[in-house]
Parts: sequence; C-alpha cells; structure tokens
Amino acid sequence: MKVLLSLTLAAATAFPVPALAASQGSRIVRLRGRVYVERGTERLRAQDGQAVRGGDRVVTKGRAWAVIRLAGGTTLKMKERSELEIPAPGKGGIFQRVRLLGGGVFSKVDTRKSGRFEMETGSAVAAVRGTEFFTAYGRKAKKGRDLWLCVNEGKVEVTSKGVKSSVLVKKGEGIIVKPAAKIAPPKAFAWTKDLNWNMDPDKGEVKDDSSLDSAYKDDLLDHDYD
Amino acid sequence: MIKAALLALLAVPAWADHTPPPEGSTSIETELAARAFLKRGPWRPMAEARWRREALPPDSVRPQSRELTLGSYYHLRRGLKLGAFWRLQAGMIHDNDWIVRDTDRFAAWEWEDTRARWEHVLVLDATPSWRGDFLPGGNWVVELKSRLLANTFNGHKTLKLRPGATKHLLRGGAPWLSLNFQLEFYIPFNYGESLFYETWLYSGLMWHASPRWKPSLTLAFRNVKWGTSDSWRTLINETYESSYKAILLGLAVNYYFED
Repeated sequence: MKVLLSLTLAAATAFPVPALAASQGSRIVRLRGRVYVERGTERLRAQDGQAVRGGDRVVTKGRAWAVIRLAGGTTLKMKERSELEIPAPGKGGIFQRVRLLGGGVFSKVDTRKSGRFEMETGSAVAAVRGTEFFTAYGRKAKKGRDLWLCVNEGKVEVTSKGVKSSVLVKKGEGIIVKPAAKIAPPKAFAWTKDLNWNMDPDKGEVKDDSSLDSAYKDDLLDHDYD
Repeated sequence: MIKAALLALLAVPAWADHTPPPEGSTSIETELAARAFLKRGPWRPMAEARWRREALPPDSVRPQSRELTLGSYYHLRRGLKLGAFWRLQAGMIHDNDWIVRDTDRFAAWEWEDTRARWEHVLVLDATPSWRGDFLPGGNWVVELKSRLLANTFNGHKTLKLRPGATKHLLRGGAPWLSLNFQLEFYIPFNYGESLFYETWLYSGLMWHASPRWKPSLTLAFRNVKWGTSDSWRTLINETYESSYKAILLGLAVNYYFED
C-alpha cells in the first residue's frame, strides 16, 4: 500500500504571513542543462526566469539542475534527473507544499515568510522544523523507494505514518527512511559532507555532484553471491 | 642369450606405459550453477546446484560432477558472515580413483567412473569482507572466503582459502554489474602430496538484472596435483604427482527471494 507522507514545516514565528498574489514571484531563477516545465499537456523548455504556476511539474534531465524560488520564501534546488510537482498555492498565493516525484531536492525555507511548508513524498513522513534540508529518493525496494533526508540548518522531526515512530534530525545528521519500516536513529553520514548546499550562482557552483551511491557503500558488504 | 638378457634388463617396464594420471594439454571444462538465497534478518539460507563437465585425459571417461549444497550463512556483523552447509555430490574424482581393473599391473590404468557415487560433505564457512576504498575507482569489496570441508566418503579434510576482490558498478546506489577476481587454494589436511592440492584463478561478471535475478559468467583456470592412488602404491610400489590443468567456462544464475 502506497503510503503518502509529508514533510511539514511548523510555523515558528508570530509574524503575520504577507498576502501575495497567486504565483507572484514564483520562478526558476537559474538553471543549467535541459529543464522542462510540464503544464497541462504542454511541455516547455525552461529558461532562466521561467515563471512557475500551481499545477506545474518541473523536470530536470541528466547533468541539469534548477533553482526555484517560490512565493512565500522557499527556495528549492533540484538535482539532475529529478521531478517536482508544484500544487496550487495556498492562502495568500503562497506555495506551502510541493511534491517530490523523483530524484533529489535541496530546500531552504524561510519560515518567517512561509509560515508553513510541506514536502510530500511517496516513501516517508517527516515534520520539518528546520530551515535547510536535503531530501532524495534512494534505492528501489519491494514496497517503494528509500528516502534520504539530512539537515544542514535547524531541525527536522520525522514521523512515520505507517509505523508509529518519530525521530528528530538535527543539523549535520541524516536518516534513511525505508518503506513501511521503523525509522532508524539519525546519525552523521560521511557522504552528506559532499553535498553542495549553495543555491546562489553568484556565490559559486550550484550544481551538486554528490551521488547516493556513496550512501549505500556499506551495503555492499551485506551481499551474498556464493 | 646374453643379448636377450641385456635386452630384458634394459627394457622399460611395461607398466610405465600406464603412467599416473597423464599430464596432457590444458583441458576445457564447463559448469552450470543455480543458487537461491533467502533473507531472514542475519540468516541467509542458501541452496546451490552445480553441474560440471570435466575433461580428464585420457578421454575414455568424461566425468560429470554434480553437487547440491544446502545450508545458511549468518551475518554476524557487517563484513563478517559464518556459514554451515551440507553438500551431496557425485562424479567427483579423487586420487584413489586412478585404478586398474585387474590385479595385473600391466593392464590399462584408468579413472574410476564415479558418476553414480554419492558423497556427503560437511562445509563450514567464515568470510570476512572489507570495503576496498584503496583500490581505484571505488566500490570495491575485498574478501577472504575460508571453508573447511570434511568428506564423509573418504575422510578427506580440506581447507579452502579464497582471497578475492569484487568491483561493483552502481546505479541509484545499487549494483548493476559486478566484476570479481579471485584466487583459491585447496590445502589438504590428510591427503595429497603438495601443500596446495588444487589452485584456481577466477574471473567473473555478474549482471544484476533485477533485485531477484542475477546471472553471471565465469572464466577460471584450474590446476590439480594428483597424488599417488592406493592401487598404484599397492601394485607398483612407487609414488607420483601428476598435474592436471583446465580452463573452466561457467554460467550461473542467482535468485534472491527478498532484497
């Protein structure tokens, strides 16, 4: 049974959320390589500054990346071979929820502006309190895909819908959430040190070259062949 | 008369024509194997069936060996597993299978046809493994497979040591192709004439077609040191060591009931 899980960023501020027009300011601020915006039956080759609307699906191909700034203060950096669905904005035109369909995405959320943010995936449930975290689908298993999450700033509370368990992932820690399984305790994974968190092209390279292959290296010792 | 006597003295004994297992050119062997694995926490039950066609000179007998191995590994911790298995095998050739059908030592020596001879072997396994990050390209696993075999048919006890390295090519964190290189040494405890009764050099390629099906190809070089058979020792009262070399081409398929 496919379990829909969501990452929720709880409001951490008393500041009122500013009212914004629908989709105002939501756009792909920078990209490289082949990035497409699927809108209805249309498929648009995205350019820098491409507007993003509710209902759009953003797709990055091999060796491509895209930085998306959503109305509401959330910035997303998509890795290569990733797919992100952006549902209709919420109250005040603020995008408070996206759906990761494949690949990986870095998220930087300004809770003072957004108030609340959800990252919906198909394999894990997490409640996000942090401001900068990385989420990516991993290896395919029988009951779904693994989900990797690690935190660069702040804290993330991860709660499973299928199996009652909850962990708090702190800065520098990560977890792997296996489908329909209890979440293992968070720990510092060596491979997360290779993640490129930069989302501003003016400050340096944006592309993230890290590979989840590194995350599974220790699993290679667990195989039996003869 | 004197001439005849001299000729008799100088004549090569007739039994020398029926030498110990003859050393010939490198033979070609083929092998098929099928394995099934189950995963229950640290327990990894395994079943393996193998058929091998050998080509021992002379060609009067072309033995085919069959093996069925049943048992389980236990993953003590990441990078160390232990195993215990029972093996049923037939068609195996041992030193004492070099025989003569007659008590006349001048008769033809040959290999016993063992295709219908069933043997039971107990196998204990200990395999430590390590990440071979020091090897180029990454995603290497280095292991030392160590097996103790006790054949209840002839009482032979053998220690098999197989150091090896496997290079995994990964996609999405999971292997899709694995290349392995191994050496194997058979150390006999109570038979044979040499320190290493048999040695192997393996190279293999496994395609991880799916999480369940993983076919593989093997190319191996085999060297066996045949020691003196009891029949030879009894009738000829001499010892020998004869080397048999072969190239093995193997095809196998692994099936995994769970990831």
